[in-house]
Amino acid sequence: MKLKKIGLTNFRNYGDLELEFDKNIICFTGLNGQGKTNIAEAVSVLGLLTSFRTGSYSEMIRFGEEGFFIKGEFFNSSGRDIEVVISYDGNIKKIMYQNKRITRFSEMWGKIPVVYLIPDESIITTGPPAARRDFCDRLISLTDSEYLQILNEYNSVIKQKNKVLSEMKAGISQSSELIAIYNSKIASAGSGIYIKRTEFIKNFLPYFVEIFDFISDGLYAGNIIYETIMDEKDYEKSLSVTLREQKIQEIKRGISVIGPHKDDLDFMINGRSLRKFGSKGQHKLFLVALKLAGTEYIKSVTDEYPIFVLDDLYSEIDEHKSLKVAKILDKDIQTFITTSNSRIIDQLDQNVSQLFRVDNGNCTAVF
Amino acid sequence: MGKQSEILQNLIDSFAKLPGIGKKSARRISYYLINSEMKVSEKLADAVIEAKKKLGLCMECHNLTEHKICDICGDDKRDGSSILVVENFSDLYMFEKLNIHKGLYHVIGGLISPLDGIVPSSLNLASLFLRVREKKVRELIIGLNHSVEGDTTALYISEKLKDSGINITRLATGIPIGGEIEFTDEVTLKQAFMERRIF
Repeated sequence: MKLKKIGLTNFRNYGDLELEFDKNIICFTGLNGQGKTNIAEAVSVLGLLTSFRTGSYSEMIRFGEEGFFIKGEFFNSSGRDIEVVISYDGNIKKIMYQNKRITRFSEMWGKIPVVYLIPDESIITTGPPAARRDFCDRLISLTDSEYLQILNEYNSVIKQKNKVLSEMKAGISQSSELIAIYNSKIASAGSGIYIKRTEFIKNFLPYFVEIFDFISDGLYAGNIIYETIMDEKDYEKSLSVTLREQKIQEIKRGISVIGPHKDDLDFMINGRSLRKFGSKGQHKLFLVALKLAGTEYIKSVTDEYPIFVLDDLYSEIDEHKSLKVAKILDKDIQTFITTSNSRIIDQLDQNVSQLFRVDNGNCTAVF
Repeated sequence: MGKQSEILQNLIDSFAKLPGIGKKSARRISYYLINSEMKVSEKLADAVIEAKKKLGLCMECHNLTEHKICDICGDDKRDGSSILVVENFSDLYMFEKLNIHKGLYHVIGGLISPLDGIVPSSLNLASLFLRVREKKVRELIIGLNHSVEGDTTALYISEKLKDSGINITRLATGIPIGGEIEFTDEVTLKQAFMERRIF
């Protein structure tokens, strides 16, 4: 997937901006706070409909304006043109995909795959299990809309059940029967989630292992293990038995604690747990490899490389590694890079890249 | 700009409280009524008050009616052994328009959703179970939405009636008529495949 044209109106610090892209590497350089990341953000919003910086569209409106408008013209590997227009008037989001109004995010999810690597994502390797589940859930749903539906259904059941559990804990209600009904749904949807997650790891892992080995100069062997307290021989049965056994416990705690929303991914480096024993550098490298492997995984399932967004290049990758990363991305993957480090200019090959200088909401092409 | 009349604001606010009506529509309706003849407003007000005064719920099925028992429940040509469970009046009306169900209905008045404060006891379920036990009901058709809340309610009903010996069925899911396979979501397509029939 490639973006050939982007238009921004009243988006962040841009009044009116229109840029055209005809190369694979598109680099934005300039001092901090000038609006480099805003362009990277707009690219990812066009593809994923959500920003990697904020959950609220209002924050993306230019100061003093009432709404914003962004438009992207893409084309995929079979040459098909795809147009996405997102407008927000401060109240209503309007998303148009090929001139057709999208009313649910899931209708467009995965159509324009974008993988990003931004600062502050270290939570994926260092943080709580939820961050790792989220990483894997996002990648799976980009290529599998059924997964997104099962996951949404599962999450709404958990929310409903939590409400009942908290009321039972407080002694307001006695809806034991409802708990049993929610548990049966949790067991069936939950095992669906488990099956798809483990299948994902099986398919994703070879790409990850190879890339991690390459960017670590052969120093590190990576591995990912799905962690669950259920019996993996028959997850559904084990889940439904555990739910029954732990019913009193769950009521006591007033929250649902059994199910795949409590599972984890164990990231391993040379046979040891990254989270427990990994150095800061190892964490960074692991994350970079995860993201890069994501591009290969998407390509393997959809036959289409995603767009790769690399915000603040050197914050996650040092110069030596950046050459290696470039080699991995050098497979017809359109990559948007932002950096305040002007040395990047010497590293760019003008035949395959475009450079823009960003200065206080103005963006000018250098080459 | 001068201050808006409190009476007008009150009218707009009253409309804006209605379901499906936003502030803009509320304002439009209010202006329309004020600009039109008095009898338009009188007719509207009378219709609302008459409906509120005279319409009630059927004692049997909780459908809207002017009497104690609704026209459907009171019609002895209808098959009392088959009951179609629906969420609300508008769903009942949809089925009635089809003229396909010859039995009776039961309007439960919502779907189980603890997050919205709707638990089984908030719905007309006790009367449904009583009806099933006391009348000679052979088939219960669950005509509820295929959503988490609809599924939960359907499961709750079938759990409660599992020892009653009656036949419980639920509306099928699948590809809509005229729908294209390419644009059908995967969960629906899978369901349609699993529920395929001899052709």
